[in-house]
Amino acid sequence: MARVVRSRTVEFFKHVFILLVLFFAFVPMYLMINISLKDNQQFARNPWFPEAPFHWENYLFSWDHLGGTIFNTAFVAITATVLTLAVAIVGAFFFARYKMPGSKFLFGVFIILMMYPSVANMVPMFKLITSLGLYNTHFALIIPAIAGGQAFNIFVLRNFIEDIPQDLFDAIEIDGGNMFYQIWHVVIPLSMPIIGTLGILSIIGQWNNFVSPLLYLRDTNLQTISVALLHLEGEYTKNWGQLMAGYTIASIPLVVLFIFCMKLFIRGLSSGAVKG
Amino acid sequence: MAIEVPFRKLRYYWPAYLLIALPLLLVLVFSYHPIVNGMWHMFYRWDGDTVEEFVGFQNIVRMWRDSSLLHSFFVVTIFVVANIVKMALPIIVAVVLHHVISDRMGYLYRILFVIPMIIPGMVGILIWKYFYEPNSGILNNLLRMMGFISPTETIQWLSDELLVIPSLVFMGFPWVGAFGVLIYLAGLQGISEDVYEAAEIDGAGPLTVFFKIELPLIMTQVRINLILMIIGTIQSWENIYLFLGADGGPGGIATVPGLLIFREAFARGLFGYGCAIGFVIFVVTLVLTLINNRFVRVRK
Amino acid sequence: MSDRNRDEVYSAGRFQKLGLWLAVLFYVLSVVMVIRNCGGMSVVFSPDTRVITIAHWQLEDGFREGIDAAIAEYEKRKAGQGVKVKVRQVAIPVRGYPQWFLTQLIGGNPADILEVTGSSDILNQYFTPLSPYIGSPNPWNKGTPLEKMSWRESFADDMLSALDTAYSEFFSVCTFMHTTRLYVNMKLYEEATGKTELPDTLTDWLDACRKLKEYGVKQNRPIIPIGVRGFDKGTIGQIFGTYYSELCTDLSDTGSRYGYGTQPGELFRQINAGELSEDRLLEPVEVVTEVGQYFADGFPAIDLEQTKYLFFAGNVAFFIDGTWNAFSMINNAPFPVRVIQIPMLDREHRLGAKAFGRITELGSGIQGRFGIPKKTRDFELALDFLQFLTSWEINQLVMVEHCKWMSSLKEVKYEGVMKEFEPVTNTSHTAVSSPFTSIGSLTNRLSLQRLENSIIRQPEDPKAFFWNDFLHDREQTLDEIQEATYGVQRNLWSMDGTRSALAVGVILSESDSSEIGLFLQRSNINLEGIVSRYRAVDANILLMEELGKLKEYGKNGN
Repeated sequence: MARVVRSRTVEFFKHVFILLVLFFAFVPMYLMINISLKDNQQFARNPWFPEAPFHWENYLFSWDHLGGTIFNTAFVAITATVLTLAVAIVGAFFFARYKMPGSKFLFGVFIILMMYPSVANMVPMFKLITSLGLYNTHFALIIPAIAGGQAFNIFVLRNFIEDIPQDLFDAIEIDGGNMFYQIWHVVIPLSMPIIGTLGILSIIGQWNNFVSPLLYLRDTNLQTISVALLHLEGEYTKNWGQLMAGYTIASIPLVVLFIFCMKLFIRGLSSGAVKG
Repeated sequence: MAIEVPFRKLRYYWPAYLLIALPLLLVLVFSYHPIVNGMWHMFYRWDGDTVEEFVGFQNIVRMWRDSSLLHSFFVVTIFVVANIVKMALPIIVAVVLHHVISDRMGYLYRILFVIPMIIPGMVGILIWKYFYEPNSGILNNLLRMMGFISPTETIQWLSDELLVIPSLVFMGFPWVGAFGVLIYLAGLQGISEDVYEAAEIDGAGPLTVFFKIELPLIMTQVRINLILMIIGTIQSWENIYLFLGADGGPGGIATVPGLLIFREAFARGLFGYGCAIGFVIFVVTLVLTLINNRFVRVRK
Repeated sequence: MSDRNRDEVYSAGRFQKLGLWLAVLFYVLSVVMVIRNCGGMSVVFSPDTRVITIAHWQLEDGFREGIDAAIAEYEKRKAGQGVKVKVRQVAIPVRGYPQWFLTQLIGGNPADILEVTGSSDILNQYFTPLSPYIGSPNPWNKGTPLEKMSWRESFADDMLSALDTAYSEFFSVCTFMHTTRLYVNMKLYEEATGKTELPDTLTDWLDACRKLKEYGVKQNRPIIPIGVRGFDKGTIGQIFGTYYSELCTDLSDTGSRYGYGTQPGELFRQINAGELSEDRLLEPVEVVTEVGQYFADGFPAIDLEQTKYLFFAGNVAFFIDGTWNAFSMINNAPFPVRVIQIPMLDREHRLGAKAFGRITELGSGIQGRFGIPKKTRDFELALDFLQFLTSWEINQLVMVEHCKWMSSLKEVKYEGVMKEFEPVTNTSHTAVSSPFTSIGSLTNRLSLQRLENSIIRQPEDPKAFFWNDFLHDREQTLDEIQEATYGVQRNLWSMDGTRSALAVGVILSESDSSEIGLFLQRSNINLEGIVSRYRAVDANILLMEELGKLKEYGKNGN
């Protein structure tokens, strides 16, 4: 990966440029953590820099309001993500491996869905959910998420699977492997990085989604973390510290996920499958 | 390498269709059913529930007369154009990152770009709102400190008709998401060493290399990002709702089509009209995507 | 494109395997917790328990605790009567409430008691009319000072605030009361004006604001004389309403003992006929524009939280707000705070010559409207709990003791600072609403927008600016009236149907049975409703006609 070698000063400026951009990109995160340890008067006086005394009790307070919802959120986000990807891989395999009559049309059927604005769709969707008896269950979040995730995931996975060399499939077919055998033994192991990337994107999306849980769930014992955060804001906006502590708590599970999946994620995005 | 299946071989290959059955079923029930239901209702006076009167093209005529609809598409055009300009920054970052000599630093930087992704979007909204607050917000305090405005002067970033849209455009600086940067980087890494060496022998400067080699080779990534960005921008309204309220700022100046749907449907109960606007947004997005696919040339 | 990264099967490192196992473990734990959560609910509710849900957007301190206390008390008393009930409370953040509310109603699975919002049409379509129940006493008021009164009379305003004027029907009852007050930063006020007594009249108030502004320039510090929450235009609407009433209370319809104000159509007819000058309706615009020059720069983008933040930081002298967060305002400020009424338009002010003085606040700030959707599964219990919530004893418990809010009922006593919040009652002038804000929600929104623009631009003649802009949006207003008229007509059809059904009921029942009395009674209510809706249609037709004839500012009536 060696490149055109240039002088040290040029190299230095590259680092400065990247660090500068990174600096701005980190400002919201920095402020979130910084403010989460302040009370309102400290925030009013000095929102920029850490300052003693640190109000760790903000975290205790927010945890009391959010803690219970984390498991609900994890259940919804992980179930939805795993099922979305499972279904999308099969669909993408179809489009990548077979050029059947009607393939192009069917692909269009999926892709065109990305272009319909969801706000125009809220009421018909709600009626559907209630008429199927899904209202006030976690399935009201999970099943529409699976359906809604198909377009983008099939699109990206198809690109990836198309590039898998033919001989790998041939080898398996000689062994008498059927289609699902091929998916399990060739496609999934080879596409792990992009699957991981899509999985993380999907989990982040589900984790931060607040419109569907707000509309489809009534009972507080089912509620997800993003709605609990809205409550925190509506109720105690006076206290920025507690609010930001709440947001920090909400992002911790995602941070842990990222620490473990960083390599996979970067590899997936760098694989060149996301292209037009 | 896909297997071509002509009609006559369908006899042997038809089970392949079973693969698509489940995703198709899900999409038909949970995406198409509500969408078609919504589209159908653009010909109705519909309150979302029991009032369903067929009114023919009345909603479409109403759209024709509704000056705020035209205005909203004008506003969203500004946002789309601004976002196209903003796309330059991640490309530049990716190119610079690609040219960093140390592989280890390059990897570290990539990790660092990924981390801010996990911050919930609401935090950004809250912080940017505080940034623009006219009386004691960060931006005006900064300008006061640097002496551009006097201590009692305020600039009304979010309630001056001329400043609202520029302020919204600037929001989110430096507009660099890990997603974009890493995807461009992936494209750049596909450029082989020989190309660079040849370029150097020809005495090409960095700018020439960028425009003649790098940019054309990541065009496929640029195109997908462009499509995703256009779809996202035309449909987005939540940020403006959270930032300026349902009115869309002073005089509704920053009303985008999505916000208009929200207002007509949920505030006034004109769901039929909302569906009609939704259909227009859909058509516009579709047309733009097709244009994009046709005219943004990709060298395969 | 490049196969470089996937020429080998991806193999996970030890670290990633650990991560995967952790994720699986976490997932299993979540599933267990979710099942436990859901399972827990079904155990609590045995099949013979009657369950209802109450939903609202009141996330302020104390409200939910207050409702919880009321629920506990209710469940206890019902258990005492041998009825097993369970009341659930759902609080939705206000930002998502309109969508949540509508989708609940449309989806057909609503909570049994909902805090209501939105247009009359929505209420009429989805909520149970309560008029059959308000004539008899609230059973939970036994042994209290309100015992002898009907449910309706037990409210401070005789339930007028809950009356839907478009449909002449009660779809909801009110649970609490708020008034709008000025919170004054006494430290800043005294420093800037050198006075200790607070302004009671508009002239004094504007004078104080001017001094505050000068003081800010002298001190080189951004001082905001008047802080408002501009974001939702709520406060602007309130100030406008106050001064409109003080200037135009004589336009109230004397034929109506409720003092709704003359109908917009009638006012416009008088203007077209030259009997009334449009100036009368527009003078309040000028007052608001004048007051508005002392608002914070960029106020339309400043929401309540930011205004509060600025107030606590000591930059705001007068903060206009309702009494929702009064106690946190007074207790959390690092300076002394006093509470006064919005200063009155006085004779010394150039527009005050014809002002009538203070307007009674009796019944003006009564809010927290809760209604019962038609699709509730247990109407009887929902109504019972609603009556419980609005009984003398319980309402005080929830509102006064938990929230420090005012109750919506009669005979409630307040102490301490809360006395400052008590509504003005020592005047007979009643509040009236302007045509600009009462035609419909869209017109109201546009009018407030217009006021906001007038404040920002400070035009030479705010009256002309406002009026001409109002006419400029005439099409949209006409559209809205037309839409509302369709609604009323639809309603009439369904009521006609009901009427025939009731008539059949009357014919078929025994002539001296109790049934026939009930049928006749309902038939009367139905007939009243039909008459009032015909009137509404007439009024709307007049309004559309007259609105169409209005001419530019200064050219009407000749």
